[in-house]
Amino acid sequence: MKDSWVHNPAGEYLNHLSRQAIGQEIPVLLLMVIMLVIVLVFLAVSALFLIWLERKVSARIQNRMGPMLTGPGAFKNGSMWTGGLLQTAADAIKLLLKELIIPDRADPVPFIMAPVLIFGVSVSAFLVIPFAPALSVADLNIGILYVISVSSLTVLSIIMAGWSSNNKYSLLGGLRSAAQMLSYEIPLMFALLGPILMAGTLSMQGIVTAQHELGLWFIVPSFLGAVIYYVAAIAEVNRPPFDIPEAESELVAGYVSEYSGMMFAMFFLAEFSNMMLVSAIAATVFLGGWAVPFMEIPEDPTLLYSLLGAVVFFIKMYFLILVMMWIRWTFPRVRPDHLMNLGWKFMLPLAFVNLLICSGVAILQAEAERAEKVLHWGPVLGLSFVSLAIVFWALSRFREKEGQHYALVPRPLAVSEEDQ
Amino acid sequence: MSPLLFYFVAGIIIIPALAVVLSENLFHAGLSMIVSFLGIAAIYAMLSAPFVAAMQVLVYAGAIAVILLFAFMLTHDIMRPQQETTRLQQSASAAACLVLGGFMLRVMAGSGWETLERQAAEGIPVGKLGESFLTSHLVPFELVSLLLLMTLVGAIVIARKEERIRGDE
Repeated sequence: MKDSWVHNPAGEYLNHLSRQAIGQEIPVLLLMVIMLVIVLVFLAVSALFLIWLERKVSARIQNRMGPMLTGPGAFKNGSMWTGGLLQTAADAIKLLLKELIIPDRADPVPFIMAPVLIFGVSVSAFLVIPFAPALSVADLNIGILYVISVSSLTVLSIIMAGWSSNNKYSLLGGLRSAAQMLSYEIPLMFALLGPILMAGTLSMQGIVTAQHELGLWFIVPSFLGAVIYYVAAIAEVNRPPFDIPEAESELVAGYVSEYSGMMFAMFFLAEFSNMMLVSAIAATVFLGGWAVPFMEIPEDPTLLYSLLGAVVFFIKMYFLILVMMWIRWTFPRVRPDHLMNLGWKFMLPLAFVNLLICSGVAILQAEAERAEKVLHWGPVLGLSFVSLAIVFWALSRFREKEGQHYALVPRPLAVSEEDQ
Repeated sequence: MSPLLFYFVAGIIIIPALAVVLSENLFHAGLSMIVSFLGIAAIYAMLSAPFVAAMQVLVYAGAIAVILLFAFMLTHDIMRPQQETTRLQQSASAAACLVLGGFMLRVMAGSGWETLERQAAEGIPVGKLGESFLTSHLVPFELVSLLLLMTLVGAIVIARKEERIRGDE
């Protein structure tokens, strides 16, 4: 296994344990099943918690209580953050018991395959995410490219769902989603290219160690890239303010209109696991991943270090998810033409600028390595400052151009006399 | 590479490929084509070429096929997917297939099917690929980018023309 282009750190660790316990390795197929079950259980449990959290965050922002009655706590203790913990579990059981309705004129095969595919894609993308030094199912030498290419299939299942429902709202939702996801995939990939250049590797574990060796999280020299990545990622997972494919006020529920019961739950689960996926990538690529700050990465990571690393990683990941929820309940939905303008005319050119800045850092690194000197912090921080300045310039453009091309704030419906 | 796995993957490529040609339903044909693309990616992965496999999924299954489906959804008859074909269309495509198939068979017959030494198991590093693009394969690389640029400009010209006519009215 060692000389192959795919490593299985978690599997090696389990094999190591089993050699000590029963003196032989676990069969490969069984190992694969174990890994898959672990990832699935993690995603499902995490999604249950996140759905509860999303409802609580939205309730907090809208000055409500949110779910309070199901589960321990309830109304009695007075704090809104303890109630309704089991609400999502109850909802999941309800969805499990519901009938799966396949519309009469729908195309049954793509209709049933779409929810399975969308969740399957996000599970398979999760296989290369490094949660801790020894806790990633596969360490590919093309890790991040694998994640991008596999998750590019998500749009496919949305198109399948939209088309096979045989419903005009579903079809419109599918069309909008295809346009949106194809457009935002491009700035997303260019934003990731910068850190890849600085790390000099595509492997997820490699990117984590490269940040540790540089002594800086890649968000510092590539702040612009991180912002672009985050915005594009929200658009990729179809979350508000970029949820025009399922805009409820105009498209019922877009491509999920015709789905019921567990098939709907699969789409819901996929939305949350995709949120986790993009946040996990951001935590790995821009925020240093599992590397514990102020600690050397040990040659042979101990269990303690791995646990610490996992905690560090999950804090970053869940924080990014929390920010996504915060954004969702703060901004109004973006209009489709604004969305396209933002993606193609604004974020893509800025992503190129980010690539230039990151190449500068990569060149500095290469020069320092060639001269066998320590990397000087001055130029790197200078480039980081340029990156930061560009982000602020971009944000100021939004304010100036309000009501025009790039504005995220929707234009008022009634035009005042001054405007005419 | 175990032969059984190879035949399994080959089936994943060939059966959907047949479905692409034989299916009357445009949308099903498009979906089958994606399955076929994924099978090809699996073959690349089995040949220790992970980068090419990922690119196959990203570019073909994730982008080209999706744009194709997107175009299908914009066609006027999409809610009645069974498309009728005329005799002329059928015979023309049969002739095109025969010519292309014959040409490919000729090439295959001409090849000696020499087995190469297996590449190092860790696969070709991406850095090496990039290096060869910018050194020994610079001219084809630049030509391809020129081709893509021309396509891009062409698409813009076609799109712009329509807009100008609308503006004149």
